Amino acid sequence: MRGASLRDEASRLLAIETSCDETAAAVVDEGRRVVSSVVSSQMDLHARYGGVVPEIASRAHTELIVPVVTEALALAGLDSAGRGERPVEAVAATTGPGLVGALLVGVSAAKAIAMAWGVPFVAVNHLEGHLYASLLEEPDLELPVVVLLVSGGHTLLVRMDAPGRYEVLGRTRDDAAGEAFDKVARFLGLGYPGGPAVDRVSAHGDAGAFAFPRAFLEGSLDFSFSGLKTAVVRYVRAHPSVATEDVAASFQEAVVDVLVEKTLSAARQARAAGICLAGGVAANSSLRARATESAEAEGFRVFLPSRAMCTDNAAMIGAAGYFRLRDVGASGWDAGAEPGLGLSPPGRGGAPGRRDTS
Amino acid sequence: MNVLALETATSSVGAALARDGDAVSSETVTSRREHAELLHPLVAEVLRREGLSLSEVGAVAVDVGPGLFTGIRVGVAAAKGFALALSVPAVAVTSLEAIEAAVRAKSKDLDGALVVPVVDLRRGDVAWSLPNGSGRRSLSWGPPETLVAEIARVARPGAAVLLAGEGALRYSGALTGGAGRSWRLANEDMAAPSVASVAMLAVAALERGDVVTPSELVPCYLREADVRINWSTRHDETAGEGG
Ligand SMILES: [Zn+2]
Repeated sequence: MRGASLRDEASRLLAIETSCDETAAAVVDEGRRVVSSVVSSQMDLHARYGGVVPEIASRAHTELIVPVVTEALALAGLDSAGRGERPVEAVAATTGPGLVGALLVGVSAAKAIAMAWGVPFVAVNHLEGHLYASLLEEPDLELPVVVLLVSGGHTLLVRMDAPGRYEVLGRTRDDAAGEAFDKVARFLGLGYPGGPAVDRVSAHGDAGAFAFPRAFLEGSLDFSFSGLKTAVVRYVRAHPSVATEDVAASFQEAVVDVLVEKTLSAARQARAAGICLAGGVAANSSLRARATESAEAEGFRVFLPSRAMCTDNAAMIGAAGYFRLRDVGASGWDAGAEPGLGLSPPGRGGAPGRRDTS
Repeated sequence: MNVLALETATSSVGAALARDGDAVSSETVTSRREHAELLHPLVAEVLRREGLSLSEVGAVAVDVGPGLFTGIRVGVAAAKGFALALSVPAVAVTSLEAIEAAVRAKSKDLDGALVVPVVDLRRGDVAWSLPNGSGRRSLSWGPPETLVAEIARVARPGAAVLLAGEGALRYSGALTGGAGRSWRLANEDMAAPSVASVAMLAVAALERGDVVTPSELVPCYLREADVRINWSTRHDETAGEGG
């Protein structure tokens, strides 16, 4: 039934994600069921530059936005030619954090589509989207859970009590985990993106070869990775003949040690039922293996989203958008990009459109 | 047919409606706020004023540049979204065409002057269009000195030249300073490619059948992407990370 309230009726959202180097669109029902999800990666466009080039990303999003949205609608069996009709109940898009020029492409297109169909537009926080990855794949996930959100730009520990109800327990004080992977990979000449490259090479290395420092920051659930990165660089400069795979494996082991230990200590403190991994670094095979092993040893349930759900996608934006629309309401037509948006729960002043300074 | 026109390629942002090809209603704002924050409310406002709903719009036109890269993309992405969701054709108008049309519409007597629209591309460059001898115009870009040389090559000696647009205003000294030239600057109110011009040019384009699909709508950047990565600021820029 069309036009019914979101609270009562099955609700279908179109979601768009363009915060970095993936152009993505998805159709999601009731924030839980992925009807279609299309991701077009620009990885190849950026690889030769060793990082995401903002102007190239923005140009590619502009080129890809229509094909990707059209494909997501078609896969969901929705005719994009919905003249006078409402194929979806709302349109959601990532408004931040991310590259401002890239975000603006998705936001401008999404607001136009919502306006054309006469449905609400919902501004979604990209980080909040990542929190829903596990729920999308495991709708019966027992809560509360502690989510370790690790990516190229973020390292966060979040307690999630219910959809739309969560609290940030810890965050990085300097480099994000994924950023440390990128920087060390670049230094070791392993290519871009750094996470998968280090993961691959480490499989052939000795993780115990070198005891790189672990910053546990006693008494805090925060992280710090810049000292580790510096230690790796210093060690390799002093010992140029060391085996690269041993360095990579030892570095990865140090990162994983800290991530896993902090996540478990957060889970203990939060009396969580389980832990979830989220974000691009959650695809790291060593992190997945160690998190599973350690958490199960302490009786916590573990949920590891598929690799496709760890990396950026629009399905998670559709889930976050559904709950934001339900709990906070629609966003204005004047919504813009919020490149520095932080993570704070809905309804507590952290709604997209406002910069979170916490 | 009702045509919705969007303008975001320069520092001003506008939306216009051409109703059945004649009366044009437009809203324009010049503000430091992001183009994306301004554009959609202007569309809602112009529709409200005209008492039209988007379902009554038969085509979506947009200024595809040249101009500000981010601004162009806001307009083009919005036009793609509108055209896709409404299943209507899109029309691409360049900023230079729009400025030239605005000058011709607003000037009582051009007296055979060569009209040269000039857009500011930042970083010392401007974009312009000049007659190419075949009755049409060609788009070029470069520093103002190159434009001066190009005009001198194209214009008859002593001919009147009327420069218009933000680029002409910004580099007025370099463009009109030459001795013995009768080169003038158009009024400031003609500096921006008016969204009403975009709408009228779109009506003409529709009559010619000059339409594209939403995916065929492409920005006119002229200048290649700057691929330098500023590693010192990369952390802030990519706060959204790579997946
Ligand atoms: Zn992400």
